[in-house]
Amino acid sequence: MFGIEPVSKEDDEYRSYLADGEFRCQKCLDCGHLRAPSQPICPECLAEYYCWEPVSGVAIVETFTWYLKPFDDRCTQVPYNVALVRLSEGPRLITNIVDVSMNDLQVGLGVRARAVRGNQGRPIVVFAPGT
Amino acid sequence: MRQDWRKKVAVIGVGTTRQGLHPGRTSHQLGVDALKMALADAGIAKSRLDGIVTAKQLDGTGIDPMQFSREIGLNPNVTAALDYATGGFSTQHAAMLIAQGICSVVACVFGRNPRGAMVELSGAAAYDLDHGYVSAHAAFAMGWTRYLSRHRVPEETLGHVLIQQRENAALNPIAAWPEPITMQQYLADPYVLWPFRELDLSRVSAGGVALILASGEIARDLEKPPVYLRAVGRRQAARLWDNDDHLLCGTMRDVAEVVYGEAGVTPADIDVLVTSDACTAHFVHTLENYGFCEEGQAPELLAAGETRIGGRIPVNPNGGQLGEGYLVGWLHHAELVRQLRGECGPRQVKGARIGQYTATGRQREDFLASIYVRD
Repeated sequence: MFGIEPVSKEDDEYRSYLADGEFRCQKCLDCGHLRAPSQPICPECLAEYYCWEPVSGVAIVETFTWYLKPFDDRCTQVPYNVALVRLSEGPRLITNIVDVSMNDLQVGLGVRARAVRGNQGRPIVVFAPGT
Repeated sequence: MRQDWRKKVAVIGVGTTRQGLHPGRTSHQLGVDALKMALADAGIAKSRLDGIVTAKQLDGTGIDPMQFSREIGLNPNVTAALDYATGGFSTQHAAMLIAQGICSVVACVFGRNPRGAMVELSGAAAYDLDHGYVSAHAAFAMGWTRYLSRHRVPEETLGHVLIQQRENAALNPIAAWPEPITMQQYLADPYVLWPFRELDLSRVSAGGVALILASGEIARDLEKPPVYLRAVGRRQAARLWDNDDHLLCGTMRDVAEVVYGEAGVTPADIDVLVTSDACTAHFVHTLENYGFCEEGQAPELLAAGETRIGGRIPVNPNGGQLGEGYLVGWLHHAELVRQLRGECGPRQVKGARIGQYTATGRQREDFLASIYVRD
């Protein structure tokens, strides 16, 4: 098994806000670019300085898939979905849509952020239908 | 910047083992099996090789190029193993070594004997465990969901892909999955990663493959006709969904511009297309983004049988990764060379002279296409 485990100072900060129920993204102090997921430098202007900008949590579902059987021993609580959403502020995120049935989850659905604990016990942001 | 590949680099020999189960054989042994066949196919001695390019998978399995060279008793000018290598990435690397004069004859070798061969699904990966985003197929599934939201697509569309791949595999003596499948069987298969059924996803299999590339001068002195590399383009979409249309494989369009521009051909000139198809939906994105049909038209093309052998654009006459075996796009190169030489017997695409290969890797972040021609 392999993959990308985000372990960084920025990721820790991101999750500590989520643990307090706050959803924030990094904003570059030089060029103002809002980025997600968190990373040490601005991908637009390469500046290091940033602040944690509160975001609205309003997003649109761009696409999704439903896991109807487990594809990994660590993620066995099927059915669940994984979705790509776009925040109204711009960045796209991989997430889950909760409180939604297979019938109701559609591309273009309006959703709102919610801070929860993920299946590995860490603070994550998921989204639920609603504007 | 464009490279003029014209007749600089050719594939001179290919070798492929039977695909499927090889209990107790290591990936190195499978690689050697294939290399012996490729040397015999090229009609050259082992001592002519001065470059060895192998590949590893992201989980570290595959062939170590130094150890492999030691085992086959060679001191190459250069060895290389790309950390993630579909056949296209490895052959691009070999072609660069030859074009620059660093090597003259390079063997590209891959073998794999993964755990769960013939049973486990391909694409094992954990991209984001916190959200349960696992398996490379999930990226393909999200791409297909997006496609379905834009186009009216009959339920049978991806079934046509699988049925055609199995039909082709039945004509291929080394195929791992030559059993025919019906539309009824396909439609009865349950969804596992909606909108995909289990049958939409390739499984891992064991086998070996070797491709020998050489400079044009060397190739022209050999008995078999050279199959020249005419163009190759790659683009790595490292920014993922920061790119619009990322999951719809929009980056293929960038690669298409490079590869057709370099080759001076259009999709209408391609006689046979081979594509590394980890899942059925990959066919649709490939046909549309590389310009074999308009966006939204691939389902019709598939339903009309135009991608069959004898159709307007035959795709994977070997059966691809859903029929022949799963060696991350390496087997497709061997097929392309054999097709362009006219060696494929019952699955031969008549008069094939210009062939194209395409690959898509990881979570749709790595794209390559190459065009090969026979004189």
